[in-house]
Parts: sequence; structure tokens; C-alpha cells
Amino acid sequence: MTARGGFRGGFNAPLQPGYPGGNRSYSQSSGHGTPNSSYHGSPPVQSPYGGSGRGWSGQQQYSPQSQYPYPHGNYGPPTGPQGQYHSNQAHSPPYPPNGPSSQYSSGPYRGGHRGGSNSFRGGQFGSSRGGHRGNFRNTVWNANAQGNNGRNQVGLSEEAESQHANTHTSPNSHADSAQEPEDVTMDDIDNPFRPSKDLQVEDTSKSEQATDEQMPPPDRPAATESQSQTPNKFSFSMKNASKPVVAVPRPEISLKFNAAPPSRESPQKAPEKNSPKVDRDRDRDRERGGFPKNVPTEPASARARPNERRQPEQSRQPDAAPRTRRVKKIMKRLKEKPVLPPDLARSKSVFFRKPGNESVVGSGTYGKVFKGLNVYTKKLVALKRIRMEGERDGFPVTAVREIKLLRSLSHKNIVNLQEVMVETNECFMVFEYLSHDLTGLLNHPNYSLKPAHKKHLAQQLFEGLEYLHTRGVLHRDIKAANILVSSEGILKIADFGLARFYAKHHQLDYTNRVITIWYRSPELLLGETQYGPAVDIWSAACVLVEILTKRAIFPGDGSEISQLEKIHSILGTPNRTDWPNLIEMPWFELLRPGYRKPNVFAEKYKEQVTPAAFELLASMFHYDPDKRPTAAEVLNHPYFTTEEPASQQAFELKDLDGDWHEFESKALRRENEKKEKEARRAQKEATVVIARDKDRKRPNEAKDVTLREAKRPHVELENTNQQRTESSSHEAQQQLPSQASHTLTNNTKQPAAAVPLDAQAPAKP
Amino acid sequence: MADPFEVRMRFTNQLRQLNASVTSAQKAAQFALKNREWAEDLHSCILEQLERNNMNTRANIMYFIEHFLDLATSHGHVEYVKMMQRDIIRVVDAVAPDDGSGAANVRVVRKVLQALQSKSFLDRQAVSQIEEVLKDRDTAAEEDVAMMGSPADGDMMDLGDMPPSQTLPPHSRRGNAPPKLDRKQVEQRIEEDRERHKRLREGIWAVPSGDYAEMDKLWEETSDLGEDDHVMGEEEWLEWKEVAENSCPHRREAAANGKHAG
Repeated sequence: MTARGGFRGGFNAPLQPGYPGGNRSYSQSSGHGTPNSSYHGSPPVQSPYGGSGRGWSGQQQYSPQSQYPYPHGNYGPPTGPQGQYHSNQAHSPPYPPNGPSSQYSSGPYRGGHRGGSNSFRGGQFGSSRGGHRGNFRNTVWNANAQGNNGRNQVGLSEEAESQHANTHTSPNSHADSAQEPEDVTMDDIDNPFRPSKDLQVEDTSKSEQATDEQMPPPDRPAATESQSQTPNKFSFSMKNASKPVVAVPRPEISLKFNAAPPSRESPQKAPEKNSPKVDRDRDRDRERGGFPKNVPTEPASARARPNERRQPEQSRQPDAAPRTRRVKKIMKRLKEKPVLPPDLARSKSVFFRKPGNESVVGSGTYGKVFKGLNVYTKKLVALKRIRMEGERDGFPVTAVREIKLLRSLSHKNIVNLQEVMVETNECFMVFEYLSHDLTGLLNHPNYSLKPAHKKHLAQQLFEGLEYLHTRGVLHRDIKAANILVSSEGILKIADFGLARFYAKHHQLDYTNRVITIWYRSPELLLGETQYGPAVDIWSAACVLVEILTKRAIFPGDGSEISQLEKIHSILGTPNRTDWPNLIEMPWFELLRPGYRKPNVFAEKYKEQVTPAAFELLASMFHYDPDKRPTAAEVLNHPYFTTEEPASQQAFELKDLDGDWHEFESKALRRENEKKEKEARRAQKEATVVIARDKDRKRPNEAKDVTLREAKRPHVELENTNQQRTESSSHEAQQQLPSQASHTLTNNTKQPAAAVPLDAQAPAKP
Repeated sequence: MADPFEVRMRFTNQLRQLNASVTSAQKAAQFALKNREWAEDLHSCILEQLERNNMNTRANIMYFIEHFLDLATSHGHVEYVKMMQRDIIRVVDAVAPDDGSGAANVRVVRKVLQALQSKSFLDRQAVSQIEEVLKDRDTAAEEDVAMMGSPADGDMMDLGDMPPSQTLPPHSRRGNAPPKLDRKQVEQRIEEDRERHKRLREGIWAVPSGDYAEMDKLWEETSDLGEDDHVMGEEEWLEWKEVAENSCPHRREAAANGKHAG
């Protein structure tokens, strides 16, 4: 973390007027706390470096960073790291003085890791930095890799230092190993990771030791050395850049550091080191734990590479003339932790649902469907709650079937099952949320689809169906309410509760109790149990009629007999010429009509739809399932292929206010009916009152009311509150304006009765 | 149970209340076996109820007979089987009368007769003779189809629970509408048929005995390789690839980097 913070800080510092950036980084780093502390530990030492190193923006900053103070003071960690980072970045790139910093320069190294400098930090300061980094960005492995980089870098830096300014004793040893790596890294800058890793591994151990040893030297010699070393440091920075690419196992580094601390302490300022070590350890732990989280950030590594590459080039030049070099360090800033708005934060579920029935967008025998909001992604989902009530045999096998089936399907016109979730002992199927369904859309109070949009919807319906049938799936519940439409006009077939795989190449026996009865084909109504995809085509034809005319074509009363009568009344009674297998239907005799009717489909629909659409519908409404076209054939019909207007996606739906499902349109219809009823009743009442003798009527009503009142208390005490409110509202509705006085008395009395109830039953609606 | 009158009454009730469930048939059959000292009486009960109830109940009794004879044989009470063999023509006439009123039951009769024959309760000759008669009745129905039903439209509504039609003059297409089932009975029949079908399907999971029976069954039921199999294969491949790419952050990163680098 600190590393990041540092990096950020460093980056910020260089890029931005360091401080602001630094500040930010600090804050971040502070959050990480431990890393910072480790940094601090190192920082003190670094601080000098930093001062020298970052001379750029930096020196002052560095000094200001008061890293020294901070580190010393513990505060240091946050600031320290930043300072360090800054220093590192600043150091390595700008001036040799950085050199010292360069040692520290692990900072730059760190950068290298991420962007080079970062890796350095990690490496030197310890592995801790590397570890930090790792925590931040990379997964553990990455972290390790970084760590290695860092180590390498460190090693390099150390080497460089040692080479340039052998002042650091330990560095020399490192230098040996490091130098090689450096070269390698230089060469491999682009492919730094691998080579560097290997090298690093070796280096790392050395580097770690070196760092430990070096660390002290830097602190002491820092200022002087830094200057002299600067060139070296530059080279380091170069190396760092390359190193960053390589992912070194930080854990190792960290371990080494851990081991190293004592030695470091002795040479260096013990307290500082100790604190860093501790921090490092923590960091490491965090890293290990945190890597996964950081992983996503790692992409930064990608960024780091370019930086590194740049740096290497620059650094190379700097090698020649280090002081002139400028290393651009790119700091990664942690994305701010997303903060959930309080209402979402309060949600007990990942999928926030409005309380009560507000979130219900559909309900049926299967249970209820809720609209949910993923509190993290803010994406809407539809949650289908699997009904467990009355399931004696455990999880309903129908739900299992539906899940299994949906999992095997993937098509743009088939609703996507995202996951299955168990929450507070309830099981939900999580679907993508679509704002409308066809029933709702077609019943929209004031929006109507244009012909081209209708055609597009129809096309998508049959594309989805074609996919299902090629995949050997019978949907068996195609109906307008099961067809969802997104706000971009994309149609998706939903509700696979009745769907099943079917044997395409031979006929099996299935139940005929499928498909909502308005959409049920004649063969199913006549008891056929050996059927195929043609049943879906019939249903889809019914849906197509609805799309085109807004009206269901066969709205029966729910019984098979009535449904057949509806079909007969439009398509005429079937005969064996059209449907040779008619009399083979199991219930043919049972349901045989006692009448004969002509086909009036043309009369009724020819005017309502285009010629091609009519032709298509007529072909799909064949009594004989074998004569109905397949979904693929439907898609090749002139209605879709040639007839104008061509299909067009209904983007306008985006502008439609609210969500329109069957559920909402039903609610709307109920509301309207209720209003109408009330209006009618009021009207009737008014006329009645005027027409009839008031004296006669009033006494009766009065009696009724008193009777009711007499009974009410008992009823209320026995019933739940909800029932009571219902009954009272019911009464209120029944009582008409003329009875206003009675209602009044009722109202005054009810509360009295309600009080004890409330006390008894706290569960109120 | 000593009272023969009571036994008759109770068996009659059980026959009337038969439905598509196995338990109702088993209950009646066990009752008859338990009181086999009045076998003659109980057999006549069956015939009587076959001729007195609506077509739904007649169909249910027909299915019950198959069950009943099964059980009787397994308990060694062949007297019931013998009586049924003797009166099978009468049974068929009652369940699928030739006046067209029982057209919906022809299918039931065929099914049960075949089952009885396969279990050797009836000999092949008797069954084929009955089949001939049934075919005639079926043919009559087919002519009806060609005519698209009788014009008498509303009649079928009110003739629910009619007494047996044996004594009525044979159905003439232009004549009185046959005592068809009313709506409620039609719906009941539909439900009962579905229930029976469901039970029939319960057996499809059973694995036949034999060394390779299961394999053969699977082989038989597996579709040929079709384009849908390729579609599925491709989908699975894509899914696998996606999973593989996202299985671990490194791969994910590598993929992303690869894109950038590319």
C-alpha cells in the first residue's frame, strides 16, 4: 500500500506538482498503514535521499515530506512513503543525488516495478515496498514478481551504487549480482520480466541482504553518496524500469527482509529498520492476502511497461550522462473505494429490492419476479423466486429443469440466466432485467409500435425460436407475457418453466398440459401427446397477431372446449382433408364440435395486416401441425425478406417512461376498471337516490350499518389487521355518498375497535 | 361384512367413485377380492354400473377391469376372470355403445382389450371379433367427421348423466344427438386422461432387464448427430475458452496485455 501510496505520491509528485499528488498518495498510503510504516522506517534513511533524489520537485518536498520526521514519528509511514516515493521517483530520475535515494531508490525501482521506480522502492525499502506494491496492484504472484523486480532493481541500484559509489559496502556484493542483472535488464527491458526474474531471484536475495546492509549506508552516507552515486542510480533507474517488468516474488524479499532486519538494524538506525520491518511484514501479509484484489489494478503493469521502456531508454542515456536524464514515473492511483449510497448500503442483499411489493414485476404459479439492483454494479436484474411452499420433495424438479435448460442456452434472443442465488433461505434465479414485456408494451396507454418495429420484434421472436428448435428445445409456453423487450428494442424469450428437450429424430410422448391455453395449438387441445416444435409455432403465430393487431386472436375462457370454440369461430371447424390425423387425436370424439363453421380468418384479418403478413399468419394457423412452417421457414418468408417496410429496431423504447410488463398493465387495467366501477356506481347511486323514495331506503341502510357495527368488533378481534382494513375499506366503498352520515359513524367507531387489535398484533402491514 | 346387500352397496359406490388414480382402482379391487363369496353379485354390480353411469365412469370402470383381473389372477381367484371372459361383449357394448354416444370411449376399449389379451385374460379370437365391431363404430365416426359434426348444436350440453343407451334406437346421424358428455364431464375426462397418461409416463424411466438393455435403450433414444450438436459444441467451446481465460488473474492480464501489445 505504502508502495502504492509512495508511487502515487512519487508519480504525482513528478507528474503533478508533486505535493498534491503526494498528498493523495499519502492518504492512500496511510490507509495502508503498515506499508507506510515500513516505508517510514526506510524513509528516514531515504528521506535524505529523497531530498537529494527528488531534488526536482522534490527535494523540498522530500524534506517537507518531513519523511524524516514522519518516519521517525510513525506518522512517517504515510508521509514517509510518499516522501520516499517522491524521493525515489524524483531521485532516480532527476539527480544522482537521487543516487542515495536511488538506493532507497528502491523507490525508483519500485517505479520500475510498476513503472520502475515503484519496484525499486519495494526492493529496497524493502521488500516491503515490493510487497506493498504487490498488495496494491498485483496478485500475490504479481507481487512476487514485482518484488523480484524490486529486488532486482534494488540489486541493480545497489550494484549501481556500489559500482558507482562503492560507498555502500553491501551494495558491492549486490552490485555483482546486480550488475549482471542490470545489463540483462537493460537488454531485456522490453522483456524484462522473465530474465529479470531469474536474475532477480538471485539478485533478490542478495539485494535484500544488500538492501539491508546498504540501507544503513545510504542513510548515513546518503547525501554525499547520493550525489556521487547519482549516475549509478540513473543506471539503476534504468534497470528499475526494466525490472518492473519482471515480477519477482516479493514474499521472498519480504522474508529476507524480515531475516535481514537485525543486521540492518545494527548498521542502520535500529528503530527505523524495525519499524519498517514490521511494516513490511504486515505489508507482506497484506500483499499476500490482498493480491487478488490488487490484481485488477495490475493492468497498471501494462502502463508500467511503457514507462519502464521509456525509462530504460532515458536511463541508458543517463548512464552516459545520468544527470540529464529524466525518468517519468507513472504513478498509479488507487481508485477510490466505491462508496455505496446509504439506501443501497442498507440493503441486506447484493440485489437491492424495494421493500414490500414495490419491486414485484411479475407473478404467477411459479412464484414472483422481483426487480433488483446490483448495489455494486448498479445493473438491474430480474429475480425469479423459486416457490418452495408446498414442495414436499425438496427443491422443485421443474426449477432444476429450467435452470439446467437455461444454462445450456445462449442466444441474443433468449433471456440470460446470470446465476442462481440462495438468500435467506430462498432461492432466486437471477436474470438480466428487461424493461418491458410484449403484453405490457402492446397495452401501453399511449405508445404504439410502428410497423417496422413490429416486424423487428417478430423477427427476433422467430430467431429465438429457431435457435431453440435447432437446439432441440420446446419452449411450450410462448405467449406475449413471456416475451421480454429491452429498452433498446431487443426481444428475448423468457420463462422456460415448461420447456424441455425433445427428441428431434423420433417421436416421444409428452404431457399435453402445456402452453397457456390461449396460445395452445389444436392438436394439444385435442389431447395429442406426441407433438413437436409446431406447437411453439402456433403460439408464436398467436403472438404475432397480437404484435400486429394488439389483440389476442383466441381469447377463450380458460377451458379446452371454449378454446376450441374460439379457434373454430375464426378458422372454421377442422376436417380430415386439411388434417388427416384429426380423428387420431385422443380427444377428438370427446371434443368434437356439434356444429360446422367456415373459416373467416381472411375476413377478419386480411384488412388488418399487410398481404405478406396475412399469408404468413395463415400458413402458421394450419390445423395440421405438419403443415405449419418451421421457424427457419418463417424467417425466410417474404414478410421478413422482401415486404416493406424492412424491420427496424425499436430504439424509441428508450424514451418510454417506466417499465411495462403484463404486471403493470394488469395493475393499470384493474385501476381503470375500479375507477370506472366507482364512477358507474356513483352515477347509479345518484340516480337511485333521486329516483327512489329516500325515506324508505334510509332506514334499511341504517339497519345494515348498525348490524355491521354490532358485529364488527368481534370480527376484528378475530381477524388480522389486514383483513380488518380490507373489510372496512370494502364497506367504505359500498357506502355511497347518500350514506355519508353512516360512514362517518363507522369511521369513528372503527378506530376504537382497532386499538386493542393493534396492541395484540404488532405485525402491521 | 356378512350382509350381501351392504357389500353390494359399498362396491357400487366404489365403482362410481373410480377415477384415474391407481389407489381408487386398487381399493375397489381389493374389496371385491376380500368378499369373493359374493363374486357373482359383485360381477353383476360391475355390469350394472357400466350400464348406468356416464361415459366417464364407464371408461374408468373399463380401466379398473384390467387392474382388477390382474389382482384377481395374482390372488388365484379365477372366478372373476371367467365371469369377465363370459360377459366381455356386454362390457364393450356398455362402454362404447354403437349409437355414437361412446365414441370417445372406443379408444379406451381398444386399449384395455389389448392389455387383457396380452395378459391372456382374453383369447385372440374374441378380441379380434370385438375389434371388428369397434371398427364399424369408428367408421361411423369417420363419416361423421367428413360431415363435420352433427348440426344439432346445443344438444350436447344438457344430456349429461343419461341412463344406458342400450334400449335406445341406434344412433342415426340426423336423429337425436347422442348423450354426449357435458362440459364439466369433458373437462373431468380430460383431467383423468392426463392423469392416466402421467402414470403411463412414470414407467419410461424404468430400465428393461437384460445385459445391454440400458445401453440399447440409450442408443435407441439418442438422436443422430445433427447440426444442433455442432451448435452446442461450438457454444461449449466458447464457454470453455472464456472460463479458461478468466480462470486466473494472470491469464486475464495476459490476455489484456496481449491485446494492448498487439
